[in-house]
Amino acid sequence: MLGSITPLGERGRGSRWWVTVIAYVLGSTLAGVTVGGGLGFLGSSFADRTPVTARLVVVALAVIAGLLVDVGSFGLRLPTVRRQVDEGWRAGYRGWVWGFGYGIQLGAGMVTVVTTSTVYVTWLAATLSGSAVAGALIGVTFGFARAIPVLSVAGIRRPDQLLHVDAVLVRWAAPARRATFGVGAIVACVALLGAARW
Amino acid sequence: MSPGMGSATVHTLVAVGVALAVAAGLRSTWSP
Repeated sequence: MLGSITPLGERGRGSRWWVTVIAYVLGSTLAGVTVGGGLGFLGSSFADRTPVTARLVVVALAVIAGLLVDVGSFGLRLPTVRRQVDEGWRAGYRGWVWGFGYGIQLGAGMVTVVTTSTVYVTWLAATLSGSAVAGALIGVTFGFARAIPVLSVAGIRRPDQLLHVDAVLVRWAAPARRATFGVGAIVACVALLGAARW
Repeated sequence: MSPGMGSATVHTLVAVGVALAVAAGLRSTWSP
């Protein structure tokens, strides 16, 4: 995805990169806050009747189960849609239009390919957070974090630089996967400790 | 549970959600 929104590509399409990027980040953040807030609102009715400690335990167990699926334990695979963003949009629409459209889809988290269980657990946490505001806070964080890496390609102005980005992404794929496992493990521990403490 | 502890637990839950959101968002950079 990062290779799709570069100054090099936008110049070739006659668009301004920063306009496309702002639309993309806004779209992703808007989708995140909408999905998170909506789930928080939907979950508020039953979350109010469920002790917070129980909700913390559920999230912790979901993180652990998700990590087991992510590493392929018991032959399990992460369920996901196979859909991707439509590459044709970039040729057919103005930069800010497809940037916003891509942002909306990717910031929602689950309407394109999901590569990590933490996406699902994030939305579970938003649902169990107990309010639309708390869910929106979680959602806006996801949407923003999902989109902001696009700034890392701000300096791409030549094809060889784009190839370098692809190589860096490939090189960092495994460490990023391990880092997600590490964060997941820490989060599960914090959730369980929080439930035990209170 | 003493007064205020419920609020603290909610804050922990939201903080956990935010941490997950950061990890999930950044990790998703490696998806289409």
